[in-house]
Amino acid sequence: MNRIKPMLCAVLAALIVTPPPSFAASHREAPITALDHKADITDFFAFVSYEDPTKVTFLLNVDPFLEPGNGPNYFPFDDNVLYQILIDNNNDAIPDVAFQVQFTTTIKAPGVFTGYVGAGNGINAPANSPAPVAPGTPIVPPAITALSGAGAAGLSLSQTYTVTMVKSGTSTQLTNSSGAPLYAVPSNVGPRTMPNYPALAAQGIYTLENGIKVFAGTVDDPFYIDLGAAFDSLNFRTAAGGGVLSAAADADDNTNTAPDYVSGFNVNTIAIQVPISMLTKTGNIEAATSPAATIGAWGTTSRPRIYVRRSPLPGVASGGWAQVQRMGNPLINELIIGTGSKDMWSMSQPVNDSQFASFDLDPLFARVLNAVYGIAIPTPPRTDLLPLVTYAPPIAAPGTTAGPIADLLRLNTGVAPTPQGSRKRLGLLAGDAAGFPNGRRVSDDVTDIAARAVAGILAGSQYNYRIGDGVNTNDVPYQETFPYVAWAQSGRQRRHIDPGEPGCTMGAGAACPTN
Amino acid sequence: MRLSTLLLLFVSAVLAGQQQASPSASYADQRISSARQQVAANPKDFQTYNDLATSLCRKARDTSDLSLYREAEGAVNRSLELSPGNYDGTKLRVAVFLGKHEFNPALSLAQELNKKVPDDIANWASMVDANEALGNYSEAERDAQWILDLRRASALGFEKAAGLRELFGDKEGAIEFYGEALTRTSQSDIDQRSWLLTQKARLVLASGNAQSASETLGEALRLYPNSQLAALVMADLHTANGKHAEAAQILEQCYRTAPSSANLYKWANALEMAGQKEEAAKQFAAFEKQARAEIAKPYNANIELVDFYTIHKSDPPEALRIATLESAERQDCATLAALAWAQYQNGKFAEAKNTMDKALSVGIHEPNYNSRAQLIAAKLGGPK
Repeated sequence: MNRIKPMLCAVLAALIVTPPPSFAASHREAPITALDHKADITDFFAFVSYEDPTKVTFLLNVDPFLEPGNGPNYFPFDDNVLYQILIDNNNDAIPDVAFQVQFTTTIKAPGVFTGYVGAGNGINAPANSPAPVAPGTPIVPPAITALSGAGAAGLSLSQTYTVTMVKSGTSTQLTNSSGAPLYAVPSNVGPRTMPNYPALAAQGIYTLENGIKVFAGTVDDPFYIDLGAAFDSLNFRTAAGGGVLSAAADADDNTNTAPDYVSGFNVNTIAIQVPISMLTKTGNIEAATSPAATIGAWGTTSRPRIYVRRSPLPGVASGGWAQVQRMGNPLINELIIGTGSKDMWSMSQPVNDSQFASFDLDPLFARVLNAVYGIAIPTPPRTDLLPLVTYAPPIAAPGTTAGPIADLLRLNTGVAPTPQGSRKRLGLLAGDAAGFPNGRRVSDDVTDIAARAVAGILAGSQYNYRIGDGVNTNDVPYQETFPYVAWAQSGRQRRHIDPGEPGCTMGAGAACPTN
Repeated sequence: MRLSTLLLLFVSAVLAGQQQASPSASYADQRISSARQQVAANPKDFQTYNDLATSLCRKARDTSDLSLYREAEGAVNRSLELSPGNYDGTKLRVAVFLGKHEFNPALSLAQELNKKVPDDIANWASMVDANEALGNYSEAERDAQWILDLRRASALGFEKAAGLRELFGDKEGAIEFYGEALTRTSQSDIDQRSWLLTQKARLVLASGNAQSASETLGEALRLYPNSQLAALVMADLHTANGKHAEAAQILEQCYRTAPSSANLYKWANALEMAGQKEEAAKQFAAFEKQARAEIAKPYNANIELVDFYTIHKSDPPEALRIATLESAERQDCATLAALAWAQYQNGKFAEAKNTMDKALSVGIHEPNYNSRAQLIAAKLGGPK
């Protein structure tokens, strides 16, 4: 009667090989998502819509570093991932409103070797076409000009999606006002296949019930950073002050003094624009001074769960999802959480974030900045970082219930959007009240903001060191209307602006420094 | 001749042939030998001791040979002397605790490591093992589920969950998960693949499909001809086919290779079933002497002793004393079932029923437990 199975001693085989910590945003920051690109949240944004301050726009970006020319399958969303945008409106870090997005992929032309093909009005078999294909037989369909129907013959790989709102325990599938399916926008293959890509992509903006707008598809990655320098143990370019910017460089939001390593890459985005009245706990648009004005938002990706127990045994759970990743603020998991705990963090619920308090109160990254740059940093415990993870001024109005420590992207919905000309890349740090960490806009320079926060700027101006990577703006202009990100870069024409290449700022101006 | 019989003969021939051949040909032994050479060449390098401990534990997992765990413990101690607190060495200490059936210290240390590195599924797996052995099944399930959530495609997650599925009475589900673990295990990890195949074969046999079990066991033995665990399942296969003499022969080999009390008891039982009464009595006596010396030790054969004192040597009070002692340490279903049986044999029928109900509450389907539960219920007027 052998009562236990021989014990596993092969446990060492499961030692995890972990990548070094990332610097900012969230491109492949945790071991679990480094292995699961489709479920990897790169960035999460929430801001009051520029052109319609009665609505908040959320963007959940996933699947990092999409090389625009990488056919033939390009970058579909994963049908087996549940993408969610979650909102807390009563300060308890538990979702009160959720938007769930799921995709369904269809291959319409399984015999065709690529997902997208088309040219002009189509190309037929020529006069010398060998049998059995007769001359004049359509070979290449017309260029892709629509997401469905006429003009979509070459769109073999097609994705539709559903958006479900969960509020007060009730799930409601939000439908297109036209009744038609919601199509995800494919990557920009190139000018022959998709001759008017902006027009094609714009067809992917849908208006749903209650004035909600959605868009899902491949877009330009709005994030910008000198990733190579950051990963080389903070070996920032001399032209960028070696990581501490000159006053002039810091003040110039439109000029890069270092290469943007995300330039020329795409990302998949799920964008949703929602009336503020559907988000606040009062159901009203609240003034910035109201404690009810501030919401907390975060994105998650989940995959179907595999259970220890099978149905229909007693005590069975079936169905359900296992969370792969979450993201609220762009810095917490990347700069604060230790690599050996990153997946645990990704899979945990924000309401339980106090378990990671030891990382928050004495972040190693701050000590790295202290060691590399010799700058003074606040003495632990770093309570100066707590305003980023609770409901507190200057984001929330005085009198707002702080709630538990939780990584949520907090947004005071009563703060009006800053006009384009007045927007600052350093957001709140530069006096731009509608910028990160009051929500996050696509243009906010969260790399510099996050690094400065970790270095101690929230503890007092004596810790303001102008830390920065020298990349102050994106490689292509953002849009000023929903979904705000630039359309996907062309597979045929894309350009990565590398060190030493001309046009360091949006492809123009001085060359990108090498050293 | 039925196919299953042919397969059985083939597998037996492989097993017998390999056991007569040089055991040094085994992968496990080669790995140990290589690790020993590394230790000799680099006696100040703590990692060489970790490698040696790993290779010893890998072999001990197959043989359940306590002496290998003791040697592994020595290597771990040396590693931790050279590099105090080194992570791999500490993880190996957990493995050694588990191997020596020191489950409480194993659990404490695994939890400590888990707190430091929560993303390392090996620590979660150790917690599953320790909790399972202690009868903390809810905790074991929670931790195994976390492994499946955290590393959904990991062989380790499926392996741990398979073990629990078996405990929960879902043999088919356990077989499925061992299969999933197998597909995720490297072709070069030969003894692990063999181990998984052997677990599958054991469950397939327990499900009544001797032919399929033979085939699976044949695969396991082709990969790891010297596997003691596979030999034990082979003995079960022979027993299921009424070939008790063949089973006894294999079990004798197992005992000679790994002279544990549990192996000795299995051999003695097989001898008895084969009609070799005199030799069986001799081995039962040897077992009693050996197992009694281990009663108070963590690595013991107390459950076998309870069996022995209630079936082969009528001494129910001693059986109850030992079962009570053991259940003070562990509350796993096997220990509780043994306690219930001892209580029954001592006329404590109501207590026996409560204990057996608790043992079976996890959901396990074990014919031996079920038949004993029926006997207990019958004494209390329940259905036979």
